[in-house]
Amino acid sequence: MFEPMMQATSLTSSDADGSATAALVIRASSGDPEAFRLLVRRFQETIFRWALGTTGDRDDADDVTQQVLLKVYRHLGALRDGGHLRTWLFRVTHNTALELHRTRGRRTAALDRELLLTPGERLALEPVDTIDLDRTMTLIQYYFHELPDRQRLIFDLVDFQGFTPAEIAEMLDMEQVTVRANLCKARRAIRTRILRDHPELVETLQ
Amino acid sequence: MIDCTIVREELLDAAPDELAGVAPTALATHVRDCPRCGPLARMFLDDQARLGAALALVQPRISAAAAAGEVLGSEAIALPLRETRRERFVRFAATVFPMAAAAALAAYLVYGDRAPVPYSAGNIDEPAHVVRITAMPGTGTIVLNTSDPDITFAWIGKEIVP
Repeated sequence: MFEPMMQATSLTSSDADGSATAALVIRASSGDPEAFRLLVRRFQETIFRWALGTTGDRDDADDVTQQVLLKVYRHLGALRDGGHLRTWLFRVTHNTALELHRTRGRRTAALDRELLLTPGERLALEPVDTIDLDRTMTLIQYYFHELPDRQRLIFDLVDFQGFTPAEIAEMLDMEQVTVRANLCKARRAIRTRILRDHPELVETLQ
Repeated sequence: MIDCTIVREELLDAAPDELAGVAPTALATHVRDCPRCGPLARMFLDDQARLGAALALVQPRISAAAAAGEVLGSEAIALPLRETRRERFVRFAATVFPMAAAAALAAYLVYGDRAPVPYSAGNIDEPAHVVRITAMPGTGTIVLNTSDPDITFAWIGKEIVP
């Protein structure tokens, strides 16, 4: 079975993990710094990933993540009342990222292959082979430079993070049919781009 | 048997489990069995998986511990933790209610033993002021002069017919 890269359920407030998170929120809002540190450890990467999906820029994603963590800390009192922590976190991250995006404008330079992944990170991808790495980096550039923001975000949330279209519809406050339409467009765009690197396969189908 | 040309179109926006041939759909079955469409679907999956792996490698530059420390450090001085509405009420009640009770007790101790003053006409120091209408009816204006020179009422409105 196809497995998403990340597990969306880690942020679900209804499961056991969610109860543990709720307990951490209560402890943190009572002034327990260790609980807040654990909350940050639990959510930082997810927030960063969401921010990266919206801003398309690693540095901006770092800034957004830090701003969101600050907002989490300031709203701990409200969050302890329960509710949809995941949706709240996502919306705050998304809005903060959009705000930063508007303020700074889109910085495409940071997505050059040398800047998006450090040499060490590229090495981690390299074992496949150099051609594959090259292809992947080209795909990443396409992914961030040319794929419309909304399509990229929805594709990332569904195909890589494992959210369902229904969950995303709630998180982004849009109709499910719109989510599905954007998802289809994104998949089609990415795969059409992939096909450009594999002319031999295209020929076999003609 | 599905036409491979149609399948190719469908593969472009198919879900990953269909590409993997594990979904309970005709498309997935075809992908699993077709020697031409199968490799194409696997290539889509492989390239997407590599893209996902690359994105997963992009991590925050600041560690979780440092990020939390930064927030806690800046907020420890600048802002206390935000209270909930209930907490604010409890704190307010804990401060105000004892003070109000103490004030009531003090008032009782100071004034509690005094007999109430009975009402009588003699309690009123001055007689009620006399009010006179000085403007003639029919002009649309009434001026009411009172015996107190500092108080005058004026009414401006429609024509008054007594």
